[in-house]
Amino acid sequence: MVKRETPVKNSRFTFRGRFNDTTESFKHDEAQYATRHQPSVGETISMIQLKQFQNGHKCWLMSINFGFQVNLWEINFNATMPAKNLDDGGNNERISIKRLWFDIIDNDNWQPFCITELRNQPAAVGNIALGCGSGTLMFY
Amino acid sequence: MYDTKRVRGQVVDAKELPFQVSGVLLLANGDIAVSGGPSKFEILIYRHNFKLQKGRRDTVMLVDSVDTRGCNVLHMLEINAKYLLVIGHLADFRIFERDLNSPDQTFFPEQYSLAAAQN
Repeated sequence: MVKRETPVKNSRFTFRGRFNDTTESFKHDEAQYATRHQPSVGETISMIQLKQFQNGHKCWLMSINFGFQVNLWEINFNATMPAKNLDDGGNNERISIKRLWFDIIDNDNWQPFCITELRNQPAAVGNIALGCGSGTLMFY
Repeated sequence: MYDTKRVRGQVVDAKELPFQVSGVLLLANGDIAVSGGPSKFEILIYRHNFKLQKGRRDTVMLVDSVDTRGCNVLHMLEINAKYLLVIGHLADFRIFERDLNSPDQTFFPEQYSLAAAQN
């Protein structure tokens, strides 16, 4: 058992920025959602950081969300201009988040639930694997 | 029926668990970040306490917490030593920066050596 002592005084973590994806990400056909009966369209299910593609200033993430969508995000820690839609509370001047790419998965209504990065795979196989239910794997 | 006797280490006090734990992340320094649980809008960071009780390594201590500013965190990613990215409801991204100058953020090799010795 842990003695409850929170909130910890002098937390070492400081809020640096917020980016709400709800208005930006879901621009495709709304009717497509309506036919797929998902409980909360747009809810992020899982997210990974791509270890193979990163440097000191940028990193890339991939996420999947309800709505059969897979997204590629770029975080720039050394941006000269922050993203306009990053609500930073006035204390961030360099971090930006933007979505580089997304895809709507056409997969017979099997919602993706897991995502992982593959290593040392041939280009024909892809670097990203999605687990979509009923044993279905998809590769990007 | 879930057999609670099989749980070796209980991170969160069940008596003070008003919310569903929604995310667990093992940080690079060995700490464990837990979102939800005692507080809905807080990330609690626990560390194995190797010195508290002899012969027991299934205890943890609270070493830090993150005020998520009203965000019920569902997923967490430790981007690097400095930045923690979290996602709340409907892809609400938030970034927190860790103060690397704090002595508590350093890795404690002597603690882990102690644990290895106890094995």
